[in-house]
Amino acid sequence: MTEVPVVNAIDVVRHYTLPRESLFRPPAVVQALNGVSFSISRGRSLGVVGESGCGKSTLARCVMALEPLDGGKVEIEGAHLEGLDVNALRDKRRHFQMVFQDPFGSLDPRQKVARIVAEPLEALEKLGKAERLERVADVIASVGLKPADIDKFPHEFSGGQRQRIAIARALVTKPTLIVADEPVSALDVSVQAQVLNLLQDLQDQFGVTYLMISHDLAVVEYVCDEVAVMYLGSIVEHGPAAEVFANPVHPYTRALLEAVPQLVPGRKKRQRLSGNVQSPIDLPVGCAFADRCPQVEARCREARPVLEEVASGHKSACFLNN
Amino acid sequence: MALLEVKNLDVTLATSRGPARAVRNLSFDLDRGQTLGIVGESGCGKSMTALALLGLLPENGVTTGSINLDGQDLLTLNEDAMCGVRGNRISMIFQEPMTSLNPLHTIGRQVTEPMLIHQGMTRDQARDEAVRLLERVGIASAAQRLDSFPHQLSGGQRQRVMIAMALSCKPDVLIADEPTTALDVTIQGQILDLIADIVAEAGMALILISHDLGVIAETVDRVLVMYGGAGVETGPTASLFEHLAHPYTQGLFAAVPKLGSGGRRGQGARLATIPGLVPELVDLPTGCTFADRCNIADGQCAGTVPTVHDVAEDAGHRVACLKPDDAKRQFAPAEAGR
Repeated sequence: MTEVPVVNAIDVVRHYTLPRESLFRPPAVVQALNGVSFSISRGRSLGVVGESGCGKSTLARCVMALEPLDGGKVEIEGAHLEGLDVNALRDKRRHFQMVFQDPFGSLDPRQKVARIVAEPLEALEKLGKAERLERVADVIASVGLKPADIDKFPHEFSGGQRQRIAIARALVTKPTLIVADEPVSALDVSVQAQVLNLLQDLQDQFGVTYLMISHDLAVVEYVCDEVAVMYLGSIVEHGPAAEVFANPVHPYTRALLEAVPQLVPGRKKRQRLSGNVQSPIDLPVGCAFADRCPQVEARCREARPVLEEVASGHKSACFLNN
Repeated sequence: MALLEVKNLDVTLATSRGPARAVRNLSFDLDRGQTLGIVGESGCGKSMTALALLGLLPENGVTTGSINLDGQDLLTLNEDAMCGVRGNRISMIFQEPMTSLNPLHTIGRQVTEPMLIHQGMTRDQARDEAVRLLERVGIASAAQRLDSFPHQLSGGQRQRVMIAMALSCKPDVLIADEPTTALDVTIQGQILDLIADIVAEAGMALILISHDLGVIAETVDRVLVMYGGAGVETGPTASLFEHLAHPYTQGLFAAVPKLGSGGRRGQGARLATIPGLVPELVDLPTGCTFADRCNIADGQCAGTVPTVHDVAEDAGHRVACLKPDDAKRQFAPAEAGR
């Protein structure tokens, strides 16, 4: 029997209807996710990269069952979450936890660290006080904070330490999956490195699975086994991180990699993508990237390419794959 | 004499926890056509330096030292005279294109405002000039865009408008404070190209402030690395990246995740880190500000102001460190491994 993946997303669709602007026209629809499929096996990590508005945060929220789906399904450890009532869903939530982007906004400033970290336990698991304190102390130690820190308030910590608290809060229920939405983008470089290493250590130690959302390609390459590149609500390229970064196939992935400034002095003349990311309202019929693609052809505007395997485990959605 | 000469600049902020030395003893100079990058982490004083140049420090800030623009010390000017300099001879592109444009005024009004104030243009002249500027910064159908409001533009377009505003009076010095931090990576490339082209074309001096070493490496000729309010290393970009001479610069460089590392199961799957935290400005040591995080610091570093050594004399690559030889030694094996 093959192992059940920790996350299995099949054809996830999420559309947001905007307020109606005219009586005579249908309201506009933001097509945030248009059929996204992926799976992550136990102890592995998937990084989702893309520019703002590509739907990566919506994807994280859909996986966390914080958003209803408009199509498709998400299974966590083989179990459906769609349609569960609130209590049944809450019971499942201990298996998947989230780390948010902003370590300043995501911790309650009026609660002490001990209470912040213990809150998921109180809500999700019935434990005695002594046991709860023990779990909190364990998890605080494993993210590299001092035992005395549990009696402090969030404002007494720096950004990197706060993100450690947020990670501790996610870890305390011993989840199999942690969804991290831009966990280091608010941190300074030297502190970011500490948090990235911590994420790797925790994975080695506890075997957690990560779904990591980031706009920073190098960060994803460091932490993730696999990477999925999203553009306007669809995955355009998906594969092992090292393989995708070394041999990008989709023109968008190539442009994205090309645009990252390198640590090499001197100005480089490079092909730049022109234009902006299109609005996810009223997407074109064909490939969503057609308007900015340097290699666009007529057929790109007529039909939408689907993900096809270009190498083992490496998929790209482009008519020009070969 | 250089166009802009900053000498022994000190900025002290009065806070409830005592004086915070946001910038300490900073000196640099800049000529027309030169580009200088200031790099460092949050709280290192890079934005405070920019605000000091423009005379825009918060009220609790005290500045000493001198900032000479064409031989005139800006710190001695009164507010009226400073208004004639700000936006006219020195202008700034701010970090957040979302919040630094006024949402209640049209783009046209905001771009023409400096020209009406500083250059005595008529409304029509200023409007024509604004159309030309917006076209130059790559905004399509510029004439119509003049009547748009900021919320009708995307982030990249707003940053282009900010650049047009900063350029409107043909300043001698352009300061760009994290101009691309809020933008997507493909848009970041477009904006950096635009800034570099405009600076080269108008022969102005550019100070680019960024926390991103990659952006700095690709855009400027000279780099100044700041830590805890002090300049720790400065030099031509090529020389600096070749011989990272200060322990902080070395640590910062090693901590940046680099593309092409081969993934997490590949080589170098662990990032080097700088131990400890970015310190608060009120509790910095009196000597070397990096002493408490530095791996080669000894007892004297925290109490002694570091001396400046030449790394490559002819190139003007200098480092402020008490133990430059130890720093050099620890960099050598790292280099061999690259």
